[in-house]
Amino acid sequence: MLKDRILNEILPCVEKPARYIGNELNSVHKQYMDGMVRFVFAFPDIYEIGMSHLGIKILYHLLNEREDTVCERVFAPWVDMEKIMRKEGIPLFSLESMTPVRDFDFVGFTLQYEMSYTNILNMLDLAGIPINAAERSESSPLVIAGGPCAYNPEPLAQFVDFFVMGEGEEVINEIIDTYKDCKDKGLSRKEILHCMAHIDGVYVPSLYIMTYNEDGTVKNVKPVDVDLPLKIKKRVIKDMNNSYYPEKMIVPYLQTVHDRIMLEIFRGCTRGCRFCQAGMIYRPVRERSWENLLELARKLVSSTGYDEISLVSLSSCDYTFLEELIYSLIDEFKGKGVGISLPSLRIDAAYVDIFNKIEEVRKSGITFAPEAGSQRLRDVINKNVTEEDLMNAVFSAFKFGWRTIKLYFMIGLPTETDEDLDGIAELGERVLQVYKEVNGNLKGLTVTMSASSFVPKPHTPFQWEAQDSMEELYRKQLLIKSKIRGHALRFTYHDVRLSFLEAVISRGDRRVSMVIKKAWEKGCRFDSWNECFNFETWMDAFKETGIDPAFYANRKREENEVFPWDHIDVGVTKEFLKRERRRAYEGKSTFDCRKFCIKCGIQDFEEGLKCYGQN
Amino acid sequence: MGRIRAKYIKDKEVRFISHLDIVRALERAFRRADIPFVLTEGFNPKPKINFSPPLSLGYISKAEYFDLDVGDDMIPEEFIYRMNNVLPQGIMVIKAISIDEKSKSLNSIIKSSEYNVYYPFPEGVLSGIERFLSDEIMVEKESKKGKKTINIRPLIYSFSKVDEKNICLWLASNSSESVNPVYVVKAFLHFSGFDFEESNAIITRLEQYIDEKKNTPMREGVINEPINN
Ligand code: SF4
Repeated sequence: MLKDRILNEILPCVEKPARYIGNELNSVHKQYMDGMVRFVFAFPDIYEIGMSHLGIKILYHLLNEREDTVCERVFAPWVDMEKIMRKEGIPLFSLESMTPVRDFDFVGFTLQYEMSYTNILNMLDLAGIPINAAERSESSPLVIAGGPCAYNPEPLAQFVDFFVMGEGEEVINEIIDTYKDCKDKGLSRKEILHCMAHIDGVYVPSLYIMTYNEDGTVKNVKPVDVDLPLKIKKRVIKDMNNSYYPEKMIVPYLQTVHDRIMLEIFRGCTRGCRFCQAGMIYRPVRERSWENLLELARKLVSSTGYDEISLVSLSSCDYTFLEELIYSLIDEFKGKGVGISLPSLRIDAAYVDIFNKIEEVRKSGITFAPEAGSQRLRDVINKNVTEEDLMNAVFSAFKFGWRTIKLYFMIGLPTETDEDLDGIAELGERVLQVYKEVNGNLKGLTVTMSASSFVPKPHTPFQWEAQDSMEELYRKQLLIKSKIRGHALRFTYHDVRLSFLEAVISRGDRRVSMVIKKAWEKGCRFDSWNECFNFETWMDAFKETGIDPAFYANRKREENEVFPWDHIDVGVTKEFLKRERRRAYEGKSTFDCRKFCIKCGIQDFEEGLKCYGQN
Repeated sequence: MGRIRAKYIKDKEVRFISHLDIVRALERAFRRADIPFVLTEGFNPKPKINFSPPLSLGYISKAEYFDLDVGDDMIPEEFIYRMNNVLPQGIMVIKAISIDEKSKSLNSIIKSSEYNVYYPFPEGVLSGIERFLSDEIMVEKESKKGKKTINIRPLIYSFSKVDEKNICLWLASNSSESVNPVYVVKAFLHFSGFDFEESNAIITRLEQYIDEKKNTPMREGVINEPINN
């Protein structure tokens, strides 16, 4: 049996065997019976990363609540495991029952970051499933994908049978029902895909044709049949309080990246930062009530035993009933040694106060994200904070005794000049001064300033922008570095080469899939891991496929260019994005739409969909 | 305030879980089981707990121990019941007693361990045990200070054949001197002219002892008679 071989011969030989055993607390082990639908969630990175992902946890339990469905998990095997699997002829297997992945009806990948795409190909290959969707047979699983990166599906169009746009909880049951229906009728793979294409939010790339202009830009994307939708609309949950949330979550043995209870307090974000894809694609904001959350927290603590609850969302400090929620959670769990944590990116002294309350149980660093060094540039990107806001927040953090501060910045933003970059070092200096004011000297202080590189993303007001060349980004990194002095200030930055590849793939069209495939064939995988990343191989892959990466990363688009993702409708209109882009160039910021509606388009997207404040 | 000494087993797939991960799994189980544990001081309070020497990754165990500080009213029977209700598959508390808080730590009282080693031994090899034991057994051991060769013979208290594929080893495992069963089996097979394939061995810790009479830690500081025998 495969399971015995894995347990007795394979696992004793690999690093961290716990990645592959899958009998964690609250994992679901179902007996497969004829007629059941088998679904395996595939996360294209290692276990510790994948198990930190909230979406999988929700959908896993949701699917397993169906009596007619078995849902299991699989993660990308680390390089040592892959080597043994290939040598011993062990196919990629699911964790729960150690069943070969190729025996499932569905393999569902979640697309969280572009640099995991080579792992998808590698996992399919290890599973013995043809990489190209067109080559799969009647007995192959349907390879499907969802998640934020699916909003530009084209770079993976060649490999994926269909994509799911939007919130999985809303549509996954329809997919399973349709599949069962099709199977009952004895339909072929092709016919099944046709049926799927009629589910709202499902995109079957093989049923759409992409054509190009002579200059290499996209001409259009058209369905092969008149009855197929021209635009694929994302699916949205209308009422969070009544949407599914698991009362149990798998508790990994291995320490994962987010090894705690994740309590999702709301979806969406209204701040409207112009570089931020999440802020656009997850609209509108939908909150859970704090009473509902408290109840969920109780159930989750007693079913998992975790000692920490993290309040997750895109911008947790914006939650309407934050104080009520936090104080009631502290009341409830303090005596049990259960801490509350909150990602701390909001810059506001009032919130530092709340932070101080929750950090009574746990003391850690505090993080602020001014993103840009000057007020001018912060207005361009619509980061509505002033230097004064930041200094007030830092002041109260120091007053409360924090000594570790992190500041996040982005470089390469549209309209950025060297003066804006100088502003980053100056902000650091001012933070030091504030510390001195509070504590008299600099003892104990660490300020980490980190700079990532701007990647223009689809469905944002900056989707037309060029990314700075790598040389320019390197120059900017060094410029900032040269201005930052003193041992209390630390400066770190992201790998420019990764941001460059991300920029190519995230705005890629169908031709980019050739590069991904080539890079994988040449040995690329785990590209977001330092020890595995090989930039030269990627560059060779571009050369061999004749694809110019600069065309995708460093080219400013015409305002009316057709984008490879234009047939995907995320709710905010292209007019809104254009308007926001214009305002960026005028240096005008735009209100948070919690205050009043700025007409992004989402309220006309679907009947019954309510934005914040329309309730 | 009271203290519970518990004995638990680690079985099946859970043998691939490291000691550190087991510690966290138990801490979470205390919370799920609503055990009134005592928290440590500081910014990052944890249950006050103390473990017997960690087991190597990949070994099964029938006898792991921990001491946990709990509220007065926690009786051992209740502790066992509540824990086994919530523990993941493969970990089970099989015995628990109340002990005096002044009892010495598990680490300081445990002196030796007994193991079963399953291995597809080449035919006839096991008849050579006695010869193997009759002389010094020099093995190369890696430590922080580098490699050194030591004689492990004094650390082997007994070595016996169970059947063609299983042997039983009683080995020193105290804080100053210990030897891992893998070293012993490897040395034995080399002595007999064979290679050792570690991935073919299944090693089970059978018991941990506090003295040469094979008393277990359940004897130390006992207030109640051990239950669940
Ligand atoms: S429709 Fe208006 S209120 Fe709703 S998310 Fe868009 S801008 Fe905000």
